Amino acid sequence: MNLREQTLSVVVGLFALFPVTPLFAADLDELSFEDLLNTTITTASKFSQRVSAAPSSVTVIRGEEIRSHGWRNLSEALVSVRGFEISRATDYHYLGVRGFSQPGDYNSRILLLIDGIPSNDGIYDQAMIGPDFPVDMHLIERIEVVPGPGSALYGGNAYLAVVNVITRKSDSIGRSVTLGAGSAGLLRGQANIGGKNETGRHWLISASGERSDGETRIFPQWEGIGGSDGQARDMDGERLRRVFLRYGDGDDWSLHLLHSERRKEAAGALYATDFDAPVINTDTTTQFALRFKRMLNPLWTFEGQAYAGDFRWEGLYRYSGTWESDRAKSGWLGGSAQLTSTQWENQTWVLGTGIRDDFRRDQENIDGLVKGQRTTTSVFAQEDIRFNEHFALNLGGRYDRDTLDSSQFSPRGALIVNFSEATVLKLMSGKAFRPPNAYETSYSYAGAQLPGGALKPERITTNEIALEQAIGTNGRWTASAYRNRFKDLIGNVTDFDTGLQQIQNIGEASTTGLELAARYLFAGGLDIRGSLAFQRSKDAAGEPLPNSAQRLAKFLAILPLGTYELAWETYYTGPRRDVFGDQVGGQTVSHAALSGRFTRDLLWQLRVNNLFDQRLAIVAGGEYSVGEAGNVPIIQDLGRQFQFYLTKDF
Amino acid sequence: MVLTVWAGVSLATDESSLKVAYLYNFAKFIQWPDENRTNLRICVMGNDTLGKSVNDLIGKPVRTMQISVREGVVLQDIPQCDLVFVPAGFKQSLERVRQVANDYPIVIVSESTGTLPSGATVALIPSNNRIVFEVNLTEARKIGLKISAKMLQLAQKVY
Repeated sequence: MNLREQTLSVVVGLFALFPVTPLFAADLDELSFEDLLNTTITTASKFSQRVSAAPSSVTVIRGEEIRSHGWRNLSEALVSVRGFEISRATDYHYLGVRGFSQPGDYNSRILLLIDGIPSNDGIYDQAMIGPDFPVDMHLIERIEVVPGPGSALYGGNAYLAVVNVITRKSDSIGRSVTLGAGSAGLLRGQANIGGKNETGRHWLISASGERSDGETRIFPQWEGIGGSDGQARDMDGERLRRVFLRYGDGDDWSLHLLHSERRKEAAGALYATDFDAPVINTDTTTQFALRFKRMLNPLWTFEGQAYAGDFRWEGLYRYSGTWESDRAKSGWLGGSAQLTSTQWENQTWVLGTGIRDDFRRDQENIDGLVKGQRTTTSVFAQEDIRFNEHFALNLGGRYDRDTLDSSQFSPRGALIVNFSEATVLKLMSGKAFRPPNAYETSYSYAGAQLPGGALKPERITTNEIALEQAIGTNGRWTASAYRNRFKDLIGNVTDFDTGLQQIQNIGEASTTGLELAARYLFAGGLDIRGSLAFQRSKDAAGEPLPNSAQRLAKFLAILPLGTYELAWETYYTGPRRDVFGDQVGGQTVSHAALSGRFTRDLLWQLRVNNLFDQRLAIVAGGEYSVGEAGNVPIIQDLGRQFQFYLTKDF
Repeated sequence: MVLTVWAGVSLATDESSLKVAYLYNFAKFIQWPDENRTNLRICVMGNDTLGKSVNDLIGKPVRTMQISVREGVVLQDIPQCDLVFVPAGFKQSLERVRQVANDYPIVIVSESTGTLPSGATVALIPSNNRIVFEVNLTEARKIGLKISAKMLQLAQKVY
């Protein structure tokens, strides 16, 4: 072995994580074509972990799809995930996962991460997945959706699913301006400036605004009550503002600051307000995060994050002609540190610790001001063991303890069997929990709602078996069977004697389901994705859970037509029950988007929501019910809507 | 950029740096029809495709222009590029990339092995622990790109 070969093997052995000491560092300018043709390669490029090796049934939604379909809300992207449902109530959008879809629950069972930083507030633990999601969809590189218990890594809110929104690199965003207009008086503008310099420093400034008058919303349950025709006119308006700023250095560290404000008029006499006035919700959030990553040596990596957030909500309600207000203020600080090691052969270790201080949890209404505070500390560990080319085991666990006297251990395990390069079988089991939030324990309203008081955390146990099979190099199908068992679920109970509502631990429930999904990218560029879900859920009494469709079917296609592109979505939701147990029929909705270019730098897109103008029902929560039980709280979803966008790149 | 010169005989570097050096040379030896502007936009599809070495291109001069770099671009971004690097792992076909690039003068640099008449303008091909390249001159001429005689001479194959 000569000197050169020796050096080469050392370099390869270290994966070039230590920089090679150059004998002579040449500049780009000094290298001719001839030099390049004679240059030998010392290390091959690295590849990130393939989806099939992950210890869960991950769905990745790519930024390209978001742009092809013209999705402007996170919920429009999430509804494409197998087993996921969206209920677009007039106030917020609610996400249902694998047959568990409680309207009005503020998505507290979903952990929503923005670049790995938790964004759920500290009062409702709300995952803002509708227009209130604080980051513009244009800035997203991909969305990683992991159904199943995530508490073993992430703690409390990672109950039904973890949604991690990963933003695009600043230089990839570049400079652009988008203007849009659409049905219901929609107007929208957005501008971005992103870049990077030669040392790797990158920056991004993005801002957007939107307004719409909204539609006339129809509430069949109000027809004939007090002379009403069940139509709510001019009560669906919306205003949005968002800012996203980022600065950083390569992957070493980055800082981001985001701010968003959403004011939404919600029709439908929520919380027994006057039918002829909307409830007006204003949600404002400001979030700050610092992330850093450092390779300590070739086998050990340190990652840390520190974050702070502020969330404010104000609700305006009109009762018998008089406006009342309700407010919440949440403030939090958090941080985590984690070490990843590949010190031992065929093993990857992750050890970490985290803290989150919800120092402000204020809720204020006519009953007065309720303050609260909660600090949660945690330690977690995860190990990946690769026994041979066929078998791998993933084990993890996390211990969370908070100052409200809750302590929880959440384990998770997965056995991954690679029958071949193309076929992977995964056996997964895990537990997750969700501590009651401040709204559930402390909110009260004189004459209507009692505080929940001392509630136990909800728990869930999930067992899942999944088979993933590649179809050539351009496709994949997946089959997955799972069982979710819920314990000590937290929900709203109405006392028959007093009529007062109270949030309580309402007991157990379970869901059994089967999901089939496939994706294929054809040579001509046609990209097809579809899924079927069969799910049975029942509560402790054996009755089906409300808003839990037994069947879901989804079909998405992106079809290139020369320089144009057509994106198509069709979603079928099977029959389900409303909150009173009455049957709601199945329904199908399709959306389409067509894109093209006027010039090289000027892109246009036309999106039509609910293309066939189908009459669609949204199963709403009890907050939409009309006085006595029996008045079915169904909201009619929006009909056909057009949106047209122009994007100019600079 | 760390290129290690071994006793003045041959050079060795990591794969990414070498590819980046090639991209810079392509930019120097290809002429675009619309060069009366300040920026030459080099795009890289996929994330972390070429590691940190791609930063070395930022601000480098090419005739009267300066190079700007966009990493992590997707199909929809291609018309905003003058040169786009499509890594081997890219799922969509090169025909599709060419289709999105329309007839705009965009150099598509692929990593496919030897099957150049596929939509790419230039292909980087691993060969014997080195990287060589092929040029699709017919395609380049069609969209108004001029490729220098020197580059054509050093190419493994010219279509």
